[in-house]
Amino acid sequence: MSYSKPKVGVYICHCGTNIAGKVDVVSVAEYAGTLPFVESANEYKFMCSDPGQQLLIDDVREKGLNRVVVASCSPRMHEKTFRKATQTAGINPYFFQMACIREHDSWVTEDPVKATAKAKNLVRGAVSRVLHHEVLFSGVADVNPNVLVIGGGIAGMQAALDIADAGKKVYLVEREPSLGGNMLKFDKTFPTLDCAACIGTPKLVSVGQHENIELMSYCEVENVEGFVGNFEVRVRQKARYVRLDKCTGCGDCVEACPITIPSAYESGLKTCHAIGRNFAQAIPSAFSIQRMGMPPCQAACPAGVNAVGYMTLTGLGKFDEAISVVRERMPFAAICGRICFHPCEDACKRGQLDKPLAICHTKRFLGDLELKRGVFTHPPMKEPREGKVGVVGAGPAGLSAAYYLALEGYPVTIFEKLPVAGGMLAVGIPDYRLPRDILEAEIKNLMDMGVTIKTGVSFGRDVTFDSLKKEDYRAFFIATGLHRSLSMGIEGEDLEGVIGGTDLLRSVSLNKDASIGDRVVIIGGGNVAIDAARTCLRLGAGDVTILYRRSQAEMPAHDVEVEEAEGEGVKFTFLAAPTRLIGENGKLKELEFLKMALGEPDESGRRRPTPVEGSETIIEVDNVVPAIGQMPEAEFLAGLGLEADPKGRIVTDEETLATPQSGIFAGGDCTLGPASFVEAVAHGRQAAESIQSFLEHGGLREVKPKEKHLDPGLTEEERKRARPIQRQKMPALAPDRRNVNFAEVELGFTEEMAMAEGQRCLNCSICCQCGECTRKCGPQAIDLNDHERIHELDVGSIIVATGFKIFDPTPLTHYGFGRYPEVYTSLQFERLNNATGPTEGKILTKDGRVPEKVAIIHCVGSRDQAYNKYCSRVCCMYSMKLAHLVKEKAAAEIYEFYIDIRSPGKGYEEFYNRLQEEGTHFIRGKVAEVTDIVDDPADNGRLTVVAEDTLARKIRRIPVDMVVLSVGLEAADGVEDVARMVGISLDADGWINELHPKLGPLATPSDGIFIAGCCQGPKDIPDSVAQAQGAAALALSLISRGKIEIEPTVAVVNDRLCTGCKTCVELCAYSAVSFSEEKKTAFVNDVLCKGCGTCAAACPVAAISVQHFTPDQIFAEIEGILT
Amino acid sequence: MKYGFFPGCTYEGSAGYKESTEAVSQILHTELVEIEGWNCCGATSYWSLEDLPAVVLPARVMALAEKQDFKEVVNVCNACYSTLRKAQDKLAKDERLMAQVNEALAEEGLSYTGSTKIRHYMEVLVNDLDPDDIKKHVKVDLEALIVAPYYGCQLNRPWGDMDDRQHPVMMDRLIETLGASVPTDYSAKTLCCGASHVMPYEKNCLPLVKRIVGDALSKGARAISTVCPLCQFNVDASQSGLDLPDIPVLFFTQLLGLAFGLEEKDLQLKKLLVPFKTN
Amino acid sequence: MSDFEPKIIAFLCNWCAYVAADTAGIARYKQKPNVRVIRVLCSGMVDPSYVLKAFAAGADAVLVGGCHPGDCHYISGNFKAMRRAPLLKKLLTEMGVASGRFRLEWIAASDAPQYAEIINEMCEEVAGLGPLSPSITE
Repeated sequence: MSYSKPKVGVYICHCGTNIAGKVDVVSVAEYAGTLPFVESANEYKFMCSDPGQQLLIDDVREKGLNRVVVASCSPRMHEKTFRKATQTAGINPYFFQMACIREHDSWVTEDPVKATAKAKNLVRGAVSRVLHHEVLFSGVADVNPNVLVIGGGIAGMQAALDIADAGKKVYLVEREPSLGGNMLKFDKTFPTLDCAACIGTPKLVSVGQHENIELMSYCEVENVEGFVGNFEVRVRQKARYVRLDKCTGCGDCVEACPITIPSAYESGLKTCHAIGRNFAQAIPSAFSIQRMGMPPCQAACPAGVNAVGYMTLTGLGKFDEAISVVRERMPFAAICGRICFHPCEDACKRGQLDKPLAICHTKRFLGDLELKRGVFTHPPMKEPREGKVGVVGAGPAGLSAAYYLALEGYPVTIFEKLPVAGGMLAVGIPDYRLPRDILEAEIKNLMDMGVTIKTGVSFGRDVTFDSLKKEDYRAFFIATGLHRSLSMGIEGEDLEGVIGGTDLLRSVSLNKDASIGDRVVIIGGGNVAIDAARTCLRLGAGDVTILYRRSQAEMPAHDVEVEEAEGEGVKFTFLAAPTRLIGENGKLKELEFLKMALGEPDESGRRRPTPVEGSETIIEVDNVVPAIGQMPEAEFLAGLGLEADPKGRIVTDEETLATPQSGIFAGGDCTLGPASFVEAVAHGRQAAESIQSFLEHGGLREVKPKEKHLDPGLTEEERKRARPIQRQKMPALAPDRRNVNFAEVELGFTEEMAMAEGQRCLNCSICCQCGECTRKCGPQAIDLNDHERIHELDVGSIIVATGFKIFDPTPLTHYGFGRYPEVYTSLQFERLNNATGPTEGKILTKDGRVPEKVAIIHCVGSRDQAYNKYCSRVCCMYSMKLAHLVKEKAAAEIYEFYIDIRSPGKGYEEFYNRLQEEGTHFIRGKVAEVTDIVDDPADNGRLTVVAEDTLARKIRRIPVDMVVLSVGLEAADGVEDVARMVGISLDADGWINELHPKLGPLATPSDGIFIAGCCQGPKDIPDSVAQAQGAAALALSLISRGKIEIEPTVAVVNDRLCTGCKTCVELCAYSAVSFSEEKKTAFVNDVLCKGCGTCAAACPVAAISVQHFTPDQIFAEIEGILT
Repeated sequence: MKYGFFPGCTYEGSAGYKESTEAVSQILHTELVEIEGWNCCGATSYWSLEDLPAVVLPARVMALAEKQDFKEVVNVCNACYSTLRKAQDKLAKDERLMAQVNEALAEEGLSYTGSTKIRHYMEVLVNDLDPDDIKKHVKVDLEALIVAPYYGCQLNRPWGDMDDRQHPVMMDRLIETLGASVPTDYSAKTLCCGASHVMPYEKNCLPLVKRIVGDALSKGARAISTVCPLCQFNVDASQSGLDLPDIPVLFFTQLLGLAFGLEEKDLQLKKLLVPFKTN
Repeated sequence: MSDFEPKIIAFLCNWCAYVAADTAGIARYKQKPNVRVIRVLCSGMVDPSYVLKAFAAGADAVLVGGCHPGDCHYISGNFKAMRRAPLLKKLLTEMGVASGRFRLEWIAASDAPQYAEIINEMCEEVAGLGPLSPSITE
C-alpha cells in the first residue's frame, strides 16, 4: 500500500562544522523546501543526536509527513539510526532515503560553492527517489554463536579467552606455528617492568587448554563469505610436518636436523634448524618444520628423486642414509649416476651463484660405494601379497616397475626377448659409459628382492597373455622400448656396410664386435649417433665423421657427450644430409650428401634445414651408420592386440598408463618414443602404482596433492648461506687413452669430493626431507608427507587482531643498520635482554664485550616525513624501559636521542622521571648519523652518534658501544588481504579503519566484523588488551541478541511480465531463482536470495527486480540528481 | 658522445684537474664542449641571502647552454653542480622568480627554460659508458692501490637521485673498473670538507678534514679520490695541519689517467701537495 | 572550455567501491566536485538501461565501480558486469558517446586513494571531451 499524496520531510545535518564548514546548509535546506512534495525542510547541528532525531520525529508527527530524507554522513554510518527514527515517527522505515553530503561532498570538495551545489543535487536525488519507495518489512536471521579470531597475539588471545569463558565457541587462527605474537618476544613491559613471559605464558596456556577455543596454529584465512551472523570462512592449514597429537616436545629432532638458518624469531641474532620451536613455553608445544616447497632439482627430476635430501646427507658423510633417500625414487643409483642427463643440475639454484651441484656424480658415488660394500639399501619390503604381475621387457621402465611392485610385496616376473637383461642399458649404451658389471650388479639387486627375470623369452611367441593368465598372472606391464633403427629412405640403404646405429651398438654389446672399416660416417645428431661414433673409434675405425642436417645448436645429443666425442677425435659435418649411397657389386663405396641451410623454425621450434641446390658432394666411405631414430616393432604390438598411434607408439592413459585392455599397462619408450633413462624409471614407478591400485581395488589410484614448487629465483639469504666450495671436477681418463678400449672414461668421486659437493647445497627448500629427524623421533610424530589442508568454518562474527610489524630501518643508511654490527633494532635488543634470547639476557656486544655506553635513537621511521608521519606511541616508553634495563644489567651510560618524550598513561610520566633520576642522558635532537669514525683514538672500535642537541644548541659527537634504533610500528604484512576478505578498509598508513574514530573504535562498517589491538593503529599492551575485551563484548552482545534483521532487499518476479526465458535462473550464483513449471515463470527463494540484482540487470523484460533498488527508484534518483 | 661543459672558476687552477680531464675525456670519447661565455655559478655564498643574483648567475650559464643547444650540462665541481641544480629546482617552483630571471637575461638576449639536464662528469662516466669500454683502455695494473672514494657532501644532496645520499657507490665501481680497489667501509665518503670556510674558520674545519683523512688511513687506503676542486684542495692542503701520516688526494680523472698509462704532462701529479708515488 | 563542469554519475557497489568512496572522504582525499554517487548493492545490478538513462538525463559520463574480480560480495556479480561492459561500450559508441565517457573500474574497499585518483582523472578527461549533446555525434 502506498500513501495517497507523498509528503516529504528533508533534514540537513551540519555534523558540527564537518558539513556546515563547507556546505551552506541553510541554503540547501531552503532549496529542498522548494522541491515537489517537500512539506518540511530543516537543518540541524547533529541530526544523529537525540535532539536531532527527536526533531525529525516530532516534525513528521506534527506535519503528518509520510517520507523522510536525511542529508548527512554516509548511509553506512547512520542509515539504521534514521530508519529507526522514521519508524518511531510512525512511518514504514523504508520510506526513508539518505543523501551522503559529508564523505562524498563536504570532506572532499575544495570549493564551498561547488560543494553546496553538489549537496543540493544529492538531496534532490534522494527526494525524487523516496517518492518511489514502497512499504517493506525486514526479515530476521539467526546469529551463529561461533566466533573467529584472526591473530594469536595478546589481543587475539584475550578476545578469544573472554568469549570462550562466556561459553561460546572460538576459532583462533594464528599464522605462526605458535601463539604469542610480538608481546612474547619482549623481555620486560613498561612502566611496571613485569616480564612479558610471566604475564604472557599463562595466557598461552589457558588458550591452549580452553575447551571452547579451537586453536588453529600455522593457519591462514583464505576466504570469507556471507554476512553478519552467518559467515562462511575457509582456512588453510599449512603443512606442519609434525603431528600435534603425537609430538611430546622433547626436542631430539632438533639435534638431528642438518639444516641451519638464521632464526627469524630472534630477528637474525641466532641460528635455528629447519625443525624447531620459537621458544620453550610455546603453545602449541609441538615442533614444526620449515619447508618452502619442492626444490627446483627435485621438481625438475622426472622421477622426483629428492636430490637436496641425499646431497645434504652426503655432505654430512651419512652415505647409507643418503643412498636410502635415493632409493625411495630411484632403483639404480650407480647406473643413473652415470647416464642420467641430470635436469636437476640445470635447475639447481647454486648454478645462479657459481656452478650447480654435481648431483649426478654424487649419486654415482653413493651407488658405487654401496656396490663396493656389497650391500643393497632399499625401503622396507611389505608382506608378500596375492597377484602375480608379468612385465614384458627388462629395460629401465620394466625393471623399475618390478622394483616398486616387489617393494609392495607382489610377485613379479620379467620376460626379456634378448639374452641379457637391461634393455637399452645393456645393448644401447656402450661399456665405456656404463660398464656391464655395474649394470649386472644393480639388476642382481632386484633379483635378490625376489624379482624373476626370464631372458631369451619372446613374448607373444614363447608366452602370451592367455598362457600367463592361465598361470594366474593378474596384471601386465608392457615396456618393450624402441629397438629398430629408422631407415633414411634414400637409395642404397640395403648395401653391405650400412648398419643401423642401434643395431651396431647392440651387436657390439652382445658379441663385443662388429666388422667396421676405416672410414665411417654416422648419420644423425642424437645420443645414439654419438655413442655409435665413439664405439666405431673403439672398434678401430680411423676416420669417423658425424653427418648432421642441422647445426650444432640444434643437436639433440647432450653437450657433454659431444665434447667428449670431439676430444676423442670424432669429426662433425653440420648442415649436411645424405642423398644417396653408392655401391659397387652390393658393397657400399661412396656417400653423396647435400649442403643444408637453416630456414624457418618447424613445429619442434628448431629451424628447418633446406637443401642448397647443386651442393652435392660425394665422399668415399667403408661404412654408413644411420642413427636418426628408433621405432617399436609394429607387428609385435599388433600381435598383442594393442592399439598404436601413427608413430607406432602404444596408446595409454597418461595418468595411469593403462591400455584400453583391462589389466594391461604400458610405459617407457614404447609409449613415449625415444626418451631418457630417468623418464623410463619414472614411468615404471607410475605403472607400479596404477597396477597396485588395479589389483587392490580394481580402479584408479587416489591423487595425492602435489607439493607446490618453490620460487626458482636465488634469494639473498641463500646467497649468504652458500659455503665457499668449488664444484668438484670428475676425474676422467685422458682422451688419448680412451678410444683404444671400452674402459670407463669417468673414474668417479672420492668420499671427500662427494662430501664437498653435498656441503655446496644451498638448502633452498630449508627442510630437505632427509629423514634424520624422523629416525630420531621416539613417538613417530614427524610426517614428511604432510600437506596443506583446507578447513571450512561457520561463524557469526569475526574479530581481526592481526597486530603489527616493526619498521625496517635498512633504508635509513645514515643510521648504519646492517652495516655496523653494533646497531640494533629495538626488537633485536628486546631479544638481547630476554632470558630466552641469544645471550640468555646478558647485554653483550657481538664480540662479547659488556657495553659502557649505549645510544638509543627515538622515532626511527616514525614522525618522519620520508617514512611514516604518525607517532608510533610506544617507542618513547619502550626506549626508556630498555634504557633502564641496560643501566641495571650493564651499568652503562645511556644516551636517549629524542624529538619529544611522549609518556601519557598511568605511571608513564613517573617512569620518565625515574629514568632521569637514574641518570639517563636525554638529548633533544634527531640523530644526523651513526658512524665508525671516532675523533679520539681511545674510542677506536666504537660508533659515534652525531646529533644536534637543540637544547644545548650544539652539535654532539658521542662515542658509544651499541646503538639501539627505536623503530616504529607498521601494520602487519597481509592485513590488506584480511581487510579485503572481510570487506573493510585501511587508512592511508595501512591501519584498519574503525567504524568511527571516537564512538566506534572496535566496530567496522561491515556488521559482525570487529577489530582489536595494533591492527587499528599503534598502541601499548594495556590498550590492546582493553580493545580485545571490548571487541569480545561486541561479539558476545551480537550472539546474545541471537537474531539479526536482514534487509528486505531481495529479488521479486512480476509474473505478469515474466516470459519464462530462464536467463535469471542460469545467472543466479546462489541458485535462489528457479523456474516454476506450472506457472511457467521464474520465482525467487528469498531465503537464498542475497539481493545482488544480477538477475534484474539481465532480465530482458525487466520482470525481475530487487526490492528497494527497483529500476524506477534508481531512475528517479538519476533524474533527481541531474535535472 | 657530446656534452655541454661548464668548467667553473676553480677548474683551471686546480692541481691537474684540467689536464687529466681533457686527456681522459678524449680517450673515452666523451667530448666536453665548453659553454661559450660562461660565468661563475656564484657558488654557495649568495644562497644564504635570498638574492636574485644567486639564481641569475647559474641561470645564465644554463641559458647559454640552451642557446648553444646543449641538452646536458656537465660539471666537474660539486658546488657548480649543486648550484645549477638548486637554481633549476627553485625556478621550476617559482613563476615570479622565473619571470624576473628571464627579464635579467633578456638584457643580453638570453632566455632560460630549464630544459638542460645538469650532470657531473664522474656520474657521466659511470652511467653513460659500459665499464668494459673503460676497461679496454686500462694499461697500468693498479691492483695494489687502495683508493678511498671521497664524494663530498654536495654531489648528491639533497636530491639523492643519482645514488645513496649517505653511502654512494658510483666512484667505488669506477675505481674497481680501473683495477684498483676501495675500502668497502669508508665512512667519510660524504662528510663536508669545510668548503670555503677553510680560510676564515680553519680551526673549525681541520677536524672535518681530519675525519676524512683519518678514516681513509684507518681503512687502509693509500690515496683519496675526489670529484671537486675545493674538496681536493681542502683535503690535500690541510693535511700539513693534522698530526696524521700524509695521504695523496687525486682527482678521479687523474686516477683514470694513471690507469690509462698517461704521461705526467696529462696528469700533473707534481702539482699535488702531498706527492703521489706510483710504486 | 575551462568553466565547463561535467556531470558524472557513479554507480558504486555497496561493499567495495562505495566503501572506498567513504574512506576517501574520511581520509579527506580531495576530489573534483563533478561526481554524484548512486549506491547499488552490486556492480552486477547495474542494468545497462541505468547507464543509458543517466546519459539521456544529461550526464556527461558514467562510472560503474565494483569489487575486484574474485572479491565480489555476491560471488560473481562483478563478472557479469564485466561481461556486459564491452557490449554497452559498443552500443554507446554507436550512439555517438565517446568511449571515455563510460568506465567500469574495480575498486576495493581499501582503494580509497585509487578511488580519488580515478574520479579526478575521469573528471579531467570528460572536461576535455566537453558536454555530451546527443545531437552532435562525436
